[in-house]
Amino acid sequence: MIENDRENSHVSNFELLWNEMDQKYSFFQYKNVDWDSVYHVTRPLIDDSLADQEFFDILAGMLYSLRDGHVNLYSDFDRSRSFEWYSGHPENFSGMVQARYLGHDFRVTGPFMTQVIDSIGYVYCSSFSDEFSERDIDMVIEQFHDLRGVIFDIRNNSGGLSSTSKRIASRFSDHPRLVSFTLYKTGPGHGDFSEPQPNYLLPRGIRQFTGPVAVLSNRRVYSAANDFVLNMQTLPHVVIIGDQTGGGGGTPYDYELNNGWRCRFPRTQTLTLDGYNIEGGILPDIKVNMSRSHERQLIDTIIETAITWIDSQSR
Amino acid sequence: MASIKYSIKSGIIAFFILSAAPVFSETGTSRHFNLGGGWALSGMRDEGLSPLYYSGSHIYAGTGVRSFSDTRLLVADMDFITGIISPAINPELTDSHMRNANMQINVAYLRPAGKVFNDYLSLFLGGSIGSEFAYYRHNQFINNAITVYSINTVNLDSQVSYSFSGKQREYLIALRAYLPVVSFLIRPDFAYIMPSGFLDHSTGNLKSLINSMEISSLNRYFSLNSNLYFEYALSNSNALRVQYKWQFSNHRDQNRLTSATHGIMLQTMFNF
Repeated sequence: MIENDRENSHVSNFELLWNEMDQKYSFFQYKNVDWDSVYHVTRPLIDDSLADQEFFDILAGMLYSLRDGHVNLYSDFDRSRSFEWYSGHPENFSGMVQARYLGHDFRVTGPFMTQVIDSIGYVYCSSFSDEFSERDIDMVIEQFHDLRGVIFDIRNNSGGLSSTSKRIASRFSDHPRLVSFTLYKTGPGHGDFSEPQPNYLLPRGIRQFTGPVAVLSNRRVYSAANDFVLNMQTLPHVVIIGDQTGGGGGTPYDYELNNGWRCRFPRTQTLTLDGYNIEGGILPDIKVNMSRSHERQLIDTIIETAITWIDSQSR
Repeated sequence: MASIKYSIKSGIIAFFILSAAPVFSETGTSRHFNLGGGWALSGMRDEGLSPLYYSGSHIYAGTGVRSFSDTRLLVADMDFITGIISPAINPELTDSHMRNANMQINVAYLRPAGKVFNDYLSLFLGGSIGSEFAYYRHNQFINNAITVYSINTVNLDSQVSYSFSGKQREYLIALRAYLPVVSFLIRPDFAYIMPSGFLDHSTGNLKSLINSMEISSLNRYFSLNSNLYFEYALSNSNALRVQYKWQFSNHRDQNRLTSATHGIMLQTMFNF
């Protein structure tokens, strides 16, 4: 009674992908992309006689026109991607320089690398993909609770689970706050979205750190890490230092094609309380780039700026 | 290990010792509690997730009660299936699968509507209410890995049964079928595309659940459910029952949902 297989040709899969994106992708208007013209350019290239690799490359090219790090096509032989969100921008991070600050006796607690630098807690978290226990974050907060401030470094953190980033942010929240709004794609039109749905950040855990916190960001901060910056920026005792984030404010959802390939693309938008769309990134409170001369001396300009800011807060 | 074997043997022996009377009494009220398990083949296509048809074997369990008298047939059943479903296409190219759990509850009230086919078959007509709760988890999806929905229905219900005797035993064959005429569906916009923070303290998700509530009739939600029973009387009004279940449903939504199930189950029926 249920048909087992649907037409599984290159043409039908192209049509399926184009239509699915057309009805559910959330940033056509924001990115000012004419998706119909993308169809007219791409459709003549599709032929059922194409080799799978050729067909994949054409679809990947079509998706690349969106310049979206959350848009991917997965096959058994390749994954399409876009790195526009950080390529061509200053790196603002050096593992070699960071190693000088971490020293040899830093702690590794779950996904967190921690060190105390001149009575200031330093945490580095490179990904929100890894699961961690409440005990892990309890240990970090406990380690830092009587220090002058915390530097939370998420440079080069390209995301993971937004729930994970929110769990961490909640340990710096002193009381419930409205932090953002989410728009959900609800209809086939490019502008068909739900009413803005409020998102709240609540304090969690047995203890929260409510002293001065500097969150370090760069252009490689993306997706769930971008959400982390958004959540933290609403807290009065937190500043964002470094470069603009890479963005990625839509939640990507997965879908499959009739040939078994998987694609993912955002179906939501996230707005700040002021209505600013964070898809293109979040500006820091204190914009600073790493200085080349500092880098040669193994000095991290962004960490030093954070230390100076925390010093100014503890006076 | 020996004590477990002993317990199982004792249970089986006790069940048959307790069985000491005819099963299908002609007069008065008979009440049965049934419990059993079996195997089901279930498939579905949720176009909110994938155009691919996912199917697979499931563990199938069911329980319920039945009260039968000359004037009415009351049935309350609960079925549960769980298993893993995979797409039929490109099994060597894709490692996709979903863990699936589905629970259905149905409560029916039927009244005798006469005999048909030269009084061989007893016909019962009435209505029932049903609830279905479904859960899927896709192994390769991230933010929309989990799908949940609930479908609640008011059904037209019927049963045709045939009783006969042989070798000093009584048997019953019955076919019960029901058709939802009014349905109350909860398939939130982003519950089948549900963010990982769904269980967070956000009221937005609750609003979406509420917004997704929909009352439909046959044109939007069509489902047909049937159960074929064969009951073999033991004694003391207890019985063994073999049940074959067949179900099809189709929700005509932007993200169309189609599902079908074949299941077979062996049940024991205890008189109480």
